[in-house]
Amino acid sequence: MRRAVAWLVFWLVAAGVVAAFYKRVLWFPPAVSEHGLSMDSQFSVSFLVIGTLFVAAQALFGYAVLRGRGKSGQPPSFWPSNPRFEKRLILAIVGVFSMGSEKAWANMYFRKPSPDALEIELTAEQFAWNVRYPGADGQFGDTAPKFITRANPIGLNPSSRSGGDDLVLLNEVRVPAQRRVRLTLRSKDVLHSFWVPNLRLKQDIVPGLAIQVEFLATKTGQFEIACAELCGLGHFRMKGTLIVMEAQEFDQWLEEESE
Amino acid sequence: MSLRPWFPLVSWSSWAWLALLASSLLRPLQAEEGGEVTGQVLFEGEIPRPKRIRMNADKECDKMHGETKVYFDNLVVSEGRGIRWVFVYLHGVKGEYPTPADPVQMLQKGCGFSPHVSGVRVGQKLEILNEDPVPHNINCTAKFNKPFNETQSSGNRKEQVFTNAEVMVGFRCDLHPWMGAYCGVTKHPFFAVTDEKGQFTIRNVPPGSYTLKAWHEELGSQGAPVTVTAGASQAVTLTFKGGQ
Amino acid sequence: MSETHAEHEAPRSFIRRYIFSMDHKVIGIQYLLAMLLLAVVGLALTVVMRWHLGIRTVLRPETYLSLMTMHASLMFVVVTVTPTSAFGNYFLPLQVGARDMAFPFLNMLSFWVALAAGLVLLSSLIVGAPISGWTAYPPLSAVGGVAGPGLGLGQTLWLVAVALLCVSSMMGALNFIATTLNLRTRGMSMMRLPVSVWGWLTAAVTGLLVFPVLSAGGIMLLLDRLGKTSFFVPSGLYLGGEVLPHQGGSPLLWQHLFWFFGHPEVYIVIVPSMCMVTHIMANFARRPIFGYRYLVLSLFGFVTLGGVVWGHHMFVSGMSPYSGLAFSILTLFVSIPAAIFAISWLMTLWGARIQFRPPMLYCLGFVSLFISGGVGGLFNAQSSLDIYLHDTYWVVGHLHLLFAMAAIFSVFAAIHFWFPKMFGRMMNDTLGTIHFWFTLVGAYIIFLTMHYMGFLGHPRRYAEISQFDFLKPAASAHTLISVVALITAGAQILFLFNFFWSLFAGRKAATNPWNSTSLEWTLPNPVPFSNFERDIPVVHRWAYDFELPGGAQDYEMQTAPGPSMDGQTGKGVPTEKST
Repeated sequence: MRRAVAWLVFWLVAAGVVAAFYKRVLWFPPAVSEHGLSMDSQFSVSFLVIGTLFVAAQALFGYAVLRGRGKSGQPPSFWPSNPRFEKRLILAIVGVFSMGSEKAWANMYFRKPSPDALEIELTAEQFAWNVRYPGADGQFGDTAPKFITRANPIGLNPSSRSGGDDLVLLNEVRVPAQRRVRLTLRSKDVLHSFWVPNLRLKQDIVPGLAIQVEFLATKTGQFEIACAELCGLGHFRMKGTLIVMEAQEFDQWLEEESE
Repeated sequence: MSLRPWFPLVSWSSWAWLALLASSLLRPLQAEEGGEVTGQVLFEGEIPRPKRIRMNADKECDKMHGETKVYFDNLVVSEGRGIRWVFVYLHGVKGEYPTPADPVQMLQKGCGFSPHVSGVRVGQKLEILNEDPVPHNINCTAKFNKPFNETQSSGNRKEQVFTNAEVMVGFRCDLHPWMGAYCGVTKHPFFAVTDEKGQFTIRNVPPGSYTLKAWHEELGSQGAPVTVTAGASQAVTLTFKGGQ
Repeated sequence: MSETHAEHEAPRSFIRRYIFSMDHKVIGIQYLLAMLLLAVVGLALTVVMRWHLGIRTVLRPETYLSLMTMHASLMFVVVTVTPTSAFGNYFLPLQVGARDMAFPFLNMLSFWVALAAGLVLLSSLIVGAPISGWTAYPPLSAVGGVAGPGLGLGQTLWLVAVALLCVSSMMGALNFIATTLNLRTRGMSMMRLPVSVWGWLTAAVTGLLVFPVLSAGGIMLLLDRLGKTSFFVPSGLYLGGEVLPHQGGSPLLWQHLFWFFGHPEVYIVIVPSMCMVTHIMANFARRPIFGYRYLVLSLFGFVTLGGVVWGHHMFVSGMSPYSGLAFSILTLFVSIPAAIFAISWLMTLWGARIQFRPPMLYCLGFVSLFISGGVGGLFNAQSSLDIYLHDTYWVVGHLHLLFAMAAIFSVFAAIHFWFPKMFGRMMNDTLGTIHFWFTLVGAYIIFLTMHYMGFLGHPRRYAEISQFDFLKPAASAHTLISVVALITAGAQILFLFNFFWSLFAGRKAATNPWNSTSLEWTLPNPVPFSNFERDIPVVHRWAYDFELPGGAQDYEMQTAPGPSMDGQTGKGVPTEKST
């Protein structure tokens, strides 16, 4: 009886897991960035290898346990271990993962900054995203905390020459598709994290540092920006929108806004 | 039956009666003998263009305003150069003044604080009310009173009493960073907030010499001496200089 | 040295005997009961949080974050302290054959400081608990109430509790190391120690290395808060409408200090758990444990690797991506010592005649959870995949499988296994079995679902999910988790009932009810004050001589002379003076 219940539970859980996989319940939102695709393929490899390992290990363990049920009087049998095989298996796993994974990592981080990337500065605060475009002159005006007011949320220096045409938005990042975008991430107060599931991009934002990340969005559409580092009572409401537009549309929008 | 339990009640109620009697006697006297300070706070320099609030940062806030554009309330200057939202109050007031029982209200409405600047008495209730369908936050950054910082969910009423005089106590909503409010906490009733034209009136001021102080969120503070005589109105004009 | 304890008489007064006691056995039970209390509070917080997340939104966001922080902190204390300080305290001296810990007074002090830490932590729940999470990342945790509710006095108390816990753990660690190295009885060579003793020793060594780092970090953070220093707070922070006066600190410094402690901390919890499980499993499999020597070696591996992989908590923190590369590869190497343990368990079980008593069930549950959690770790050990998985529910699920569930299963196993020796009575098998199944199935449903929510990209520490469209599919998953969590939490009542009922009404236990081999089972119930009434017995073998060929019974006590399978015959013979 107990055994039957255990098996029932086991199969129910297994069926649930398989169904969840098959139906793509709680699955990755579609990737819309260049590096996101290479990350997804690394995920696939990992699912295959780790999934196999997981099932094999649990099955082996389960078999060992079930074999050991109720056979009294039988002399113990030993399964000779093969340390060399085990060592090789582990090293192979380490090798496969570190190579594949670090390639994806390098894709993301170890590349020269593109000279023609669109520059956008993102200044996070409790609990909003201030977004700044450099304006027609292509240069950001200088900022300092002492200039910050509610109406000047990033502390733009009023006497800054290149700051006059800077465009400052709130919670809305618009980027052109198929063009590299370089984000400079800053924070006014505490730690935040820029997280766009569709971009496969997450980067903590550290006050005192200006961290740069690059991405290239491949598809147009609206995607949600969430904060992924606990930043206070409004953490769950710190929402922004990433709007990926056709290049032409984007240029037109930028022109209109900059007036 | 022992009368003992009733003693506090009897003694307190007699004190209350006495206080009521005293206040009814004093009030008309003050009105007759007090003077008035009126005036205007003006802006000097180039009038800055009002800055639009990007309400679309929160879709629900945006919905409340429709097509109407909403502007920042940090520096509001009328065509006649009057500055709105200046807190003016008398410095050097002596004597005790009864605390009003009615609370001062501060609303969170349309994703803004209303009024933007207000005054409350030491010991008087400040009632903060969220009339919006969205949650707000009250981050009260008092220095001489107990600060607090909490979520103000939709429809919630928060009551706060300040125990020390403080000009000004700041309030922010961190969920909507454009939202800010200030409240001056004073020991006496002689304060006012300038209107759209930058004008203000402080009534029933006991005769004497004071400093009239004015505080503005971005322009800072300044003061001017003022002498109040009974039954007369004293006009004062203060001028703030604009930025560089 | 082992004679020092025997010099003083057993205290007569109730207070010296049961409250301010220097007896390691009383202290062990005190630890166990205190941690049980904290665990119950922590579990109650879970119930409220799960109700809020999955059934009906009842909490304000900051209340949710406070409860979350307190749940994590309390459970952190529970899993850190229970395996080592409760069971280690009671059974390490017994298993090595000592009359008490090396420093009984320090031992007593260590408990009372730990209790103070627990109480200060609970008091922070009363004044308004911090909302900064158990990692307390500055600047959120460093700048006071302007950054959020509970970050004033609540956060300060929280830090004081952390500092106290550090002090307590360091005192405990010293005691464990000194006792293991110096107070072993004759014949108890290091390679004859029960694996559980190795686990406690490893945890103590690791603790002694890393708790000072946490306490230094905690004091620096306290100074930032109270003394206006700027270790972790950079220049020009703008909060509450003002620029803060701090200058030149680095938030990343805290993360490095915290995780330099925090990762080895995982091993402080899980290594003694693994070792207790290994010890108990051998008993119920009636098999010598497989590869004892390799297990000991892999413990050194855990300590060493544990000290160089902390950066895998910080892949997206803004740390140099080159460090990320190094930390990622080093982290994958942790699978080597972990796999050695897993293989040892598998081999020990292979072909064994398993006795499915509750202690064994919990051990098997532990192994299954350990495999699942460990294999899942291969995902987030890869820095590139961690970009996606970091700070999502994947991590919550992963850490709970290992750090919480596996650890707590080992504690359940240990309680059921050692209950007869600690309290002289047996716990009920049926209740234990039912509780085991509920908890195991519950744990898997809850935390596997959380892994899936990580694939969705669901960030952790969200008080509500209503704001985001991409989190919509998670709503039903939250409900599922909540329902299962409430049932699983309810099932813990079975355990509590079993524990307290057996305390008073359980079947009287024999001296060695499990036919076990280590020294504690040679002692009568209750264990006398100075443990070994007359002479401390001499040890002739390791603790895993089950199924010896040609034996009359299927096990040999460590005190029994004769040939052994421990590979130590001829070494550490009884004539040799051990120290």
